[in-house]
Amino acid sequence: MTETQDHKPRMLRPGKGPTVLPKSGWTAPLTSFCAGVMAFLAVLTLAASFAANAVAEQWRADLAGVATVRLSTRDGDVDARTKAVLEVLRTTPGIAQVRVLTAKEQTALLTPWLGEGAALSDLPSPRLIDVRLLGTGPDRQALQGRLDLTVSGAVYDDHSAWRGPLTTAAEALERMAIIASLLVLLTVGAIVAFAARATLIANRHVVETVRLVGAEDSYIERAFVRRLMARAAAGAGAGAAIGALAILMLPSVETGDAALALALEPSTLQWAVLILGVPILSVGVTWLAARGAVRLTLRAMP
Amino acid sequence: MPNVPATHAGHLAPLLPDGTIRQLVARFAGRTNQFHSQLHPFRRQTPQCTSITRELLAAKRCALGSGNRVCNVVRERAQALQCGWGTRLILLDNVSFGYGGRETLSSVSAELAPGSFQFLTGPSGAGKTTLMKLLYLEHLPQRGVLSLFGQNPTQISRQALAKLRRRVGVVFQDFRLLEHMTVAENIALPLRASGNDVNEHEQDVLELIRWVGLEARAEALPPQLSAGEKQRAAIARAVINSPDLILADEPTGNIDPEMGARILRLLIELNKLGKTVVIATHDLSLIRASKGQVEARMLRLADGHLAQGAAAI
Repeated sequence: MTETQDHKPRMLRPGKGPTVLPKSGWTAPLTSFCAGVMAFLAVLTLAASFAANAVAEQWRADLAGVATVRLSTRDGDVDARTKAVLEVLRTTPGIAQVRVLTAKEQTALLTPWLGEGAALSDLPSPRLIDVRLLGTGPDRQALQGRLDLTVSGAVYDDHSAWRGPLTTAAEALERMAIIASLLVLLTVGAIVAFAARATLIANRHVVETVRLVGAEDSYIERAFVRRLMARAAAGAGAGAAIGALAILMLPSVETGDAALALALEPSTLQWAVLILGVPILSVGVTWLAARGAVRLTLRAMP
Repeated sequence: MPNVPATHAGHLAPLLPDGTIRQLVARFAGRTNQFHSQLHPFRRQTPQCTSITRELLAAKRCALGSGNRVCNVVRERAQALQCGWGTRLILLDNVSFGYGGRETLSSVSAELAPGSFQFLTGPSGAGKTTLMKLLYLEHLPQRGVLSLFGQNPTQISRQALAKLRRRVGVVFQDFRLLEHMTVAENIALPLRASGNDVNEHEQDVLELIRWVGLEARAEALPPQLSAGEKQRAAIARAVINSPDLILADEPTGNIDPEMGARILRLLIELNKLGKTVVIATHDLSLIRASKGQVEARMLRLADGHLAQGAAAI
């Protein structure tokens, strides 16, 4: 067989096996492009979800276990009234620690709103007492009653009035971001299913011929699914990388707000989810969608 | 080619190099026996057939060293086929099929014996291609029963249907060569589609390419081939998996008479190797040319009905 060995057909050379499907021409990159765009959007929405979760968690952590007593400075001897309030607080179960905020600390709290150099003494600002709680804290109404009996103009605020709506809003934002991410992944699935069906129909003559020479459906399915998965993997990988770069390039917001700072800095695990998880999920969704679409189309053939 | 009858050797001379046919037979007979023993439980249960299978395997080993054994192997294989499916490789019982509500085939009944050589004739539109499509399982009967190798394709799984298709080699009227694959790749397609590693069957593919005289065109793409070359590539693809049944739909329809005669000789030679061959054609000269070369029978279709069943030519 020296003659034939000298003249080896292309197919028989190792590593050069032909694919059953012909090249798809200009439509081939469209699947990758769509998968890339969807992965980019998935990364952004997941990052938003992580940020919303971080904000909600931070607010919960910061505000739970903390309360404030505001004491009006308009009535009588403020120092004496402050001392009376502190006495009431120290003798109330559920309170771990109390501390009167200094003038400097109060000024720092108002600086974001009034700007640098505002004279606090010119404002009718109340005296603030920081209260650290034990467990769920004291009975709010009972404590307020004791304060009312002791001094006038003292208000106990456990922040529940605005903490509740804020954390609810943050949680809703987080849920919406997760739903958006899932919708993006479902869209990937829908695009891939369309692409699989279109490719199968465009190559119907190839599929029919391959079946008639003895190929099982699983063989044809593998050929299609592998091709689509390769395209989706390339697109999703690039999309996720660009999404991650976009997050890194977001301008930093220097508000001094710990919650916001945390939101803009995903943890290592969250980065792994964004950079690796999104492409892997996209490929998984592609596998499912392509497999389903190809199976359904093949079953319609005799 | 001392061990192949002189008449055959003479016919094949333009296409077959010396010794190729012996190697092909030995190789394909062995593969087919193995395939049958795995897939045909009925035959395994029959003591006589089991021994025939064993004898065939032994004969195959002898055949590798002795050309005289080759024809015995093939004949015994044809007998083995009869053990499995009786005298009917194909059974059509009142089979009907139509497109869009119009019946193209009406209540066709016929039986084809293993190892037989059949012409399927009739005018254009008589239903020849539809019947061939039923036989190569592109379509399934809408009414009636089709039995192929003892199996009813409407009652088996899709996986079993694919395996059944592997036992049928088809030379399509329009060749159906995949245009993005080279001749070699097209010929190896049934091996690949059956889950085989084509590199393990390198010799089979190369020998077949030589057998059909396409070694110089092995890397050509189908659009670069003449009709005759496409036809030969299609025949090589049809036999690469060593099928028991070869169906050729108008195999000489697109080629000149000389090439038509050569292709007929190839099909006759395959029949002599034990393959059941069915040729659908409206070319009466092709049928006349077969006289004296093979014991052919003829099925004639007219308006979707079987006008003449399996008559000797």
